[in-house]
Amino acid sequence: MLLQVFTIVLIMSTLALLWIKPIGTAIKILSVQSLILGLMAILIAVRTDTPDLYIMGGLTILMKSIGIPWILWYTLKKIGMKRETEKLIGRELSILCGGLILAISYIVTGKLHLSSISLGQQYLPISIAMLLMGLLIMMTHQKAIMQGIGLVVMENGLFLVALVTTYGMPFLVDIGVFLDVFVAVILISMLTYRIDKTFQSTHTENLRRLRG
Amino acid sequence: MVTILSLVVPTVTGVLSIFIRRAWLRETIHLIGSIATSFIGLLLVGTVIIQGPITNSNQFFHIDALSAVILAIISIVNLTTSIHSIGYIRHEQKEGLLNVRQTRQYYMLYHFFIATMVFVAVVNNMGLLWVSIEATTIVSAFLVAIYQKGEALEATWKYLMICSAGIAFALLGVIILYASSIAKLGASNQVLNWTVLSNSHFVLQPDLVALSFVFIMVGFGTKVGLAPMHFWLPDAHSQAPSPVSALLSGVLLNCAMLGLIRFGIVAENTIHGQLIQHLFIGFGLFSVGIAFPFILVQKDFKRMLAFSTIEHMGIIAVALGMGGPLGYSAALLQMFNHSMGKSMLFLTAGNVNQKYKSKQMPRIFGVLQSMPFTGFVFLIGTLAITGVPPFNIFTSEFSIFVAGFREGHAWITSVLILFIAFIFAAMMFHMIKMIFGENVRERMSTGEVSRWNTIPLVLPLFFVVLFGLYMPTSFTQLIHQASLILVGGVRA
Repeated sequence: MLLQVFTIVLIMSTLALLWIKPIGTAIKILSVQSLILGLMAILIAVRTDTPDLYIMGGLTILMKSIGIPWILWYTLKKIGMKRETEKLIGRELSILCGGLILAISYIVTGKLHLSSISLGQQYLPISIAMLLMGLLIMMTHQKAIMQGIGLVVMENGLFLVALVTTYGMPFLVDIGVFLDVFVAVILISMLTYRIDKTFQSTHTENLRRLRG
Repeated sequence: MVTILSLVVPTVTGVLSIFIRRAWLRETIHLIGSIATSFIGLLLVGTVIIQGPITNSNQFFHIDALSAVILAIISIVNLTTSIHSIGYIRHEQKEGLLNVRQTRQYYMLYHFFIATMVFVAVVNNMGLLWVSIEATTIVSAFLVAIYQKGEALEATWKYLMICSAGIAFALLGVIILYASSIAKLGASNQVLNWTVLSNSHFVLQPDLVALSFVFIMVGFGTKVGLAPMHFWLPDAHSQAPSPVSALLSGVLLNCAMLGLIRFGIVAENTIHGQLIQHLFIGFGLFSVGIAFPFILVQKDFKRMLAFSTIEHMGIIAVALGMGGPLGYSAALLQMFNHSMGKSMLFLTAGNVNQKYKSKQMPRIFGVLQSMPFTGFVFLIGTLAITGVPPFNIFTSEFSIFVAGFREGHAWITSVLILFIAFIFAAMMFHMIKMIFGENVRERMSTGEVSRWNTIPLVLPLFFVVLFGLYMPTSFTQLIHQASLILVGGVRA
């Protein structure tokens, strides 16, 4: 029951990322999403008695829900708080795309035969939808920092896939993935700051000089 | 023990490089560290040739002949580029393009980059293989961004975004493979180990494995630079400092290809169908085909070399897809030969850029006249990379063609030969003008940038010339052992 509530919050938060305009709010939503993800991991850890998952849940809350949003927040503060998102497609259309992705995820994962997986069938569509919506955010948003947020949403989706299909990847792999994401976010923040300083804007429209 | 050293040495060298303030001491440590890394790498390669695969006690590392081929590539190219780096970075510093802080960062990141690539080659767990390939992306992205100018930032941004998004799908594939493997073996830390998964009697759920491999092909294919996921590659290769371009093109892409090969073998054990073959051949041929028009119209020197890299990765993918014992060994040989030729060309491109202060090909004339040694190496490299006999790439490409006809892929091989001939013409069109042409308006003074820029070129030149004429038996034995791993995957 609680898990179902959590997954609904997860998908709603991802859809909200497609809708909202101020980047500051987007960072807060990302933080809430990662918090829910961490709590889910801990909940599954309690139910299945997997000690590794406690650590992963804790790390998710610590790094993805506090660390990464803090880094993004800090970058946003350095380049100016009053930033709004800009997109190639309108908000209505992107929400529509989000709904479409959700429907496709349900249809596609319904056809998979996952004999071994208890949780999988129920929650897999949501996690795949999160992954694809993260990609949608990366593709449609034109502000550098929002593309970075899209990447973190993708990673969150992947974490959820691993969580519900196999109760997490082997411990070392999970830690490695975490480390990669964390350093990637630091790099994203650094680049966002540099791009802002060089072009006086974080609009990726400026990044169109290399062609052919 | 030696395996751990191969990771520790570059990491420690990297850390030292950022802390040491004196330039000469930093460069000395950089050199010693690189030589030690390469030496350890070659030591491991030698051990594999003589004693067979190395697996350490807790199954964390596993070095077989496939990893040894990659380790050999890393070691040799690392040795070349690290020496070249000294000349290149000194010159950039003198020109004011890099400050002292950036120089220190460069040396640190350089060694971290090497360490992550060595990790790709030696790690046993295939989940960690994914982690290390993603780590190579991040570390090298810092290196591509080192100039912190507009175009370098753009290239880095595209590189990071496209590769991270692409490789996220590969992780999805790994998770699906893990789910399928757990169903068979039960949850344990060994389940994702290559030593477990590569067992040919190990059959998983076919539909899951097929799905997983499609994701992995797209994900790692992005990193290998297969079209149509190649858009990051020309940007990153052209904007990075030349020694880094040489590493990206010569080593990094092969590391990603190793990931693709490993997962391909595991998938082949379960699904014996044509899916994997078709994916490799399809993406490969498309890459070779798309490289030709871009090479033809290219104005930027390093971008043209980058598209030639896409071409060669395509050729390797086609060879892996066509298969057969000869096809596999030819593909592995092509990986090695391409690394030598292309790293050499990127380094000469660096020398030319520094001398002419431009990457635009219409502005570069008469390299042979203004820089006799670089021009000579440039000429040989061009001939080699376009597949002219008697150089090394001709040997491996010819073996690929023979393998293609022998395995009954006459049409595919013919198309491949046609594209390679077109690309030969296109590259020659550009290169001949740069090498032989004469600059009438502004005469360049004759002379190289520095000795550091020229002497390391001798090493890849040696392999380019030697491997076209004669290959030492120990090396052919290594390639043979590695191709047996691939054949074993198919026979199962």
